[in-house]
Amino acid sequence: MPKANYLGEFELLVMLTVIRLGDGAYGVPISREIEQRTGRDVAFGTVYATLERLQKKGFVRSNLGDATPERGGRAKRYFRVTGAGLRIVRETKQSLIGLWQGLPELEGGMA
Amino acid sequence: MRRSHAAANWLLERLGLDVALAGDLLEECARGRSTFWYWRQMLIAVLTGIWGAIRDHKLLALRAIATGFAIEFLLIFLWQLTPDAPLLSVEFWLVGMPTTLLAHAATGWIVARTHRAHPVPMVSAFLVCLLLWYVSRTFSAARTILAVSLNQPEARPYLAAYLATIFVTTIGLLGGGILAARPKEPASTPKPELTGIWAAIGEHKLLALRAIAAGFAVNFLFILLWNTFHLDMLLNHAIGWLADLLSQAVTGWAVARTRRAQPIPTVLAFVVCLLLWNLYLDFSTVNMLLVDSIDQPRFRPYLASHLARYLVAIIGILAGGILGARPKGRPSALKIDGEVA
Repeated sequence: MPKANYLGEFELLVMLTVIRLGDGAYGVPISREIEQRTGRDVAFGTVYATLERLQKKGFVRSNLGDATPERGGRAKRYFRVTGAGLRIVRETKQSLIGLWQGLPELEGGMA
Repeated sequence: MRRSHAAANWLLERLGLDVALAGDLLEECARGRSTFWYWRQMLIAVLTGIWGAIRDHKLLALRAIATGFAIEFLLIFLWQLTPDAPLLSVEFWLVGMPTTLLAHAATGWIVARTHRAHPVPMVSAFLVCLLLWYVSRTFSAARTILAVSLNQPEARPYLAAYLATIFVTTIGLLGGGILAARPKEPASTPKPELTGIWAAIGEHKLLALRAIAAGFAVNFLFILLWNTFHLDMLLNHAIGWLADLLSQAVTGWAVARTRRAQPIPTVLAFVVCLLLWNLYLDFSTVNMLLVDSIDQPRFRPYLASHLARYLVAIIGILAGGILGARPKGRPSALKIDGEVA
């Protein structure tokens, strides 16, 4: 059986956020978006470590943008999801839907 | 605030973390985030980066731990050769602690330089193992000191000494490791000459080791000559100083001439090793003169004279080395199209 590249919970959050942000996905908006949508306190270091791991797996790619004075002359690193990344997000979604179905305890609202 | 940001950026670069992360944190600070938030993020980034590198390179981490312990056991062996400083004595705090700091900084430096792909994470892996080993060895004694310190204030200095040793070891190892780690993105500014010398020694380690061996061989030959002809009695005369200077200059010249590819870096490597060796041999005298000179001014000329001999040795070897080194761009005979010009 071939070894599958599964996405962890936080990896999935980051992937979905990068897809949602499109061309403007770099460290600051990614962290803010995750914080706003999940209510979690997100550390930038954790987001970058996750993005680095996803990049190694080939699910995202990155390029450096322009440096600005408010960033101390440091460039922004923009992230984009690759074709393989989109595929793995869809597969993860199907897996989760498959697990979700047929669980009466989880049907019928937020309880 | 800006200075602390610069220090944090320097640390991130040395750790090999993404420099864009430093920019993101600065951008958030410009939007009103607190200094506490900044340093908390920085700490999480550093710890996440270190842990990630160790997890992804387990074999490299094991090698770093083995290297670190090999150096540590060598240091313990050398330490046992020196006279014991009583615990909590002036020597313990003034000499023992700085020596521990320097020795561990050197260990951290070596571990980092021999694991250049992930220097700081590898030094951190060794640090954790070293502390676990140290605490496990001293656990019962530490527990006793802690228990006694709660009731008897006179035992608290012993607890302080125990904790200070752990603290100094940690600072030394991490400091050495961070200093040895190079930023992954090369700086656009030209490197100063000193960096070039260290880089040359780093790239030609075997050559440097051979130069050190050659230098010590020449040095021991001079010591043999001095002892054979009983020239020790001249040591307190001007002619003795001159002879010392000349003999060291000859040593430096010989090292430079026999290591023509990198004369100055290898001579410098020898100077550092010779000084460390002499300090090791001379430790008790220098220590005694230093302690006596603090409150008794009449000892200061002796201390100055003693230290001047080190200075003479440095000047002599460096002068000899510089004289022995030839400019690289000037060959002895210029060949043009096969003809000697």
